[in-house]
Amino acid sequence: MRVRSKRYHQLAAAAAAAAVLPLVLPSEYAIHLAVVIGINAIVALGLNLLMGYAGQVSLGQAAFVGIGAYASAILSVKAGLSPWIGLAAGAALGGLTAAVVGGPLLKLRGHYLAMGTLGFGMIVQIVMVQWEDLTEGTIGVMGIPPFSVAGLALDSELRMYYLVAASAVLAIALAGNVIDSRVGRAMRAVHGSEVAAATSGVDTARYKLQVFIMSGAMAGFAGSLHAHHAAYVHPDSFGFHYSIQLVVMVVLGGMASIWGAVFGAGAVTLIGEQLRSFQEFSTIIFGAVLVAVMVFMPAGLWRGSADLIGRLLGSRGAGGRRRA
Amino acid sequence: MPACGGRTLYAMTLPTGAQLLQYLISGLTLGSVYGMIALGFTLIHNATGIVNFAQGEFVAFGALIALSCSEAGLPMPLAVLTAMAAMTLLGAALERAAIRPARGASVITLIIITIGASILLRGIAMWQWGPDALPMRHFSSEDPIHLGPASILRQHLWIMGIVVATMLGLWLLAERTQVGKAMRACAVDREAAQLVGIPAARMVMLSFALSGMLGGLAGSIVAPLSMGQYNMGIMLGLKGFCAAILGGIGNAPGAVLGGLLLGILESLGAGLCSGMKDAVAFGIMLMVLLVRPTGLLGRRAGRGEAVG
Amino acid sequence: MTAEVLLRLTDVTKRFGGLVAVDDLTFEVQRGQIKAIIGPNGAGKTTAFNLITGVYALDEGEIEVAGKRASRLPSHEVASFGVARTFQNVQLFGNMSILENVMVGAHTRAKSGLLSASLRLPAMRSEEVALAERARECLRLVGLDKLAPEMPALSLAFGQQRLLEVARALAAEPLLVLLDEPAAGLSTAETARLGELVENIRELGVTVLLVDHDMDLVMQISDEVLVLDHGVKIAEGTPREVQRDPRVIAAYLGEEP
Repeated sequence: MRVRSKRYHQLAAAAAAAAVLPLVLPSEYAIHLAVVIGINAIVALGLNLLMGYAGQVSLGQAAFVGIGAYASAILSVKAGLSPWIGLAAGAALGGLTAAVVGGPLLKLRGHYLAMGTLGFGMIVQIVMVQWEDLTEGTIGVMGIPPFSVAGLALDSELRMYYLVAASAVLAIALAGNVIDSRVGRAMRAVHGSEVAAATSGVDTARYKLQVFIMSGAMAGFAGSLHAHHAAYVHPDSFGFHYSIQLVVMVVLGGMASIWGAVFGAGAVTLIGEQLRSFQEFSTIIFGAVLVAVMVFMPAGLWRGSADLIGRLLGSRGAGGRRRA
Repeated sequence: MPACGGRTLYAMTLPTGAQLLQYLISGLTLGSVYGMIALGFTLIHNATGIVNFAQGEFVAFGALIALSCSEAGLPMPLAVLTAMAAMTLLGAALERAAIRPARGASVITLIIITIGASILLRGIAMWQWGPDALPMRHFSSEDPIHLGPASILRQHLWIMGIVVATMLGLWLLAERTQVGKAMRACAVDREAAQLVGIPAARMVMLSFALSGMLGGLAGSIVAPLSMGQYNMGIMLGLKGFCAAILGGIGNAPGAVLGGLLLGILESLGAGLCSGMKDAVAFGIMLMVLLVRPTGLLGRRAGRGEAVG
Repeated sequence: MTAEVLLRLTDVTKRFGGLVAVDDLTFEVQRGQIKAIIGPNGAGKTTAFNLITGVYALDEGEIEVAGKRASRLPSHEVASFGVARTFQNVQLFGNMSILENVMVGAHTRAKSGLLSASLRLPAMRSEEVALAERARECLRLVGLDKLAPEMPALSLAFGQQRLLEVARALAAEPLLVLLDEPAAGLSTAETARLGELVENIRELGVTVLLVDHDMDLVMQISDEVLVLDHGVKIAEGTPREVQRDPRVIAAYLGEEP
């Protein structure tokens, strides 16, 4: 019970912080980045449910984002439907696709699951390029209208920010609720010991599929937000590279940690932006940091830095004692 | 770019016999290269259980180093050997710097480590060689040899010949030498191998070194046809991966067979519809994973390791 | 006592490649019994447990739980018949707290799904309260109620981890609980308390089938003992009968009878 009320307090604090954040952000560009972080955070939260909590790797998560983005883009541009319908359709289609491919894919484990999801992601991207009648191929879908609330178009970064921030807070609440429930415990049990979960009566295949669907729907939802924010969707945005970035967000932030996923989304997005000023060195630095973090802080940056500081302080203390 | 989805569907035509032969030639060539990359995956997987996502970067570096050496006036054999030597060192260094310190880490952590290494290497390649595709001289004359209605490039023959020779060499290494036997023992049961005094840690490093060497060689022989580019390793690596799965991961002959099959199927698929070339590889990989995760020649009979 | 069969194995066989791990095994467990399976290492005891709980698929034979066919069903369905178990190599959920581990044990006792969990609907919340209460009760039963329930499960001492597995199994309110070497790695004092615990479990109306190497424990608490050797049943009866059986003695001395 105490844990739960602490969670609600944290959530309220985060919502309040998100509400005032634009006031302290220095520029339109900074708000734009905050929007991108929020969108990534929603995807990372879903992926962390799948990877961090249920222990199932996905190297194809970008595909679900792409499916949501294209669904929303096509429905609003080609069918002239409201972006809100697109948003619902994006989430639904993301979840539905996960439901269809999840059945066979989730029978795989470890590296095999990683490769299976990778292959799935690649194929979805190829479909985006090849199904030109629907997706405009390598040109992409342009002129996607913004959301609008009661006649007010969410066409500025600030207005979009509030929609994304509210969605992200909602996603955090949702993920927290799920983790702290019978369903969430069943998912985590699958990760902890699949055989013990099954003999405790947990239908492991069913819960793996449920969490996969949930992560797919969250990714599809975020994809739709992306489409109406960027006003443009292109197959290149939803490839292997983005899938990797998403996994890195989860891992860097810390597996099985809700705030870790949000932190990871922020860190990876900002590092990506920061590194641009290093130009050709940006990929080198990103790769090197990634390897170093994984080798020395496998629990992620968040917990890892805390551990590291603790260890440094601890060893200095020990050294002092030895000298004394 | 001709595409097959939607409005350009009518462009699909059936190939003639000569075209089929041509596809077969290019498929076998490309397939040999895939097989070589798949073999690199297999070596490391057998020694460590890790799937090395940086395998493609070994290939890209091999291509870039070989073409630079050849550009600088080094004779071709020397250029290729330099690329191989450099990649051998790089493979060993990767193991020592990033894999060994992370021993016992989870599958996800290991995946991210090798992906991180691949990003790092790709960054270095772009910094050193720039973003553009660079040409490389063929190993011998570029005049094609005509085989009836189809034609074959000398480089095709070089590639197939070198791949066959390499397979033979690796087979001899595995069957006839002490080191090869030790490596195979580690692949079957690492702990048991250690118990009988085989230095398993050194075998792991050796597998990375050999795998780097294979990547370097694959890159140097394919570069005259494909050109060399900093990011060429992504697709080549992933295709090698598909080949390894098709053949049965952990199975060396399977890797080669998977590579050849994949090359031919891809070449035929691309002949029918060029936009679908990549879909062929990933589609086959998915199908194999779902229907028979142990691949064509998977030696582990059960689905236990791959499937719950 | 009216003998009602709770668990029945009929001609059950399991092969691993060329090795026959369990060979044509037939036995029954009566409701309310404490029954033990003993035998040398590799006799097929844990395999038998894995067959009963659907972890392994059997090659031949039938398994019935309370009159319902349980063979060829996945583990979670067998669990829903009222079969719970512990593991020889402790299988706790390392990523969860003590209380949560036990609450997973009560999984089949609740039904709230993804939607009611996401929205924290009132029915789900009252169910959660009941589950947590049930889990605390089970922790009390095995004597782990003094520990902070939020502690990570793997921070427990080894003996406590075994008890936590028992609590998790009991949380399902099972008809039958299978204990796989519950005394392995326990101290003498801990083993004595375990003996009491098993008897308490029976008092609750739960039937117990256990595997253990601690002969003092087994002979003291069991109503019936079954002896396996190389997957074959070589003796079955009261502890007294079994201890006198020459084939059992031979098997334990490592000789062929």
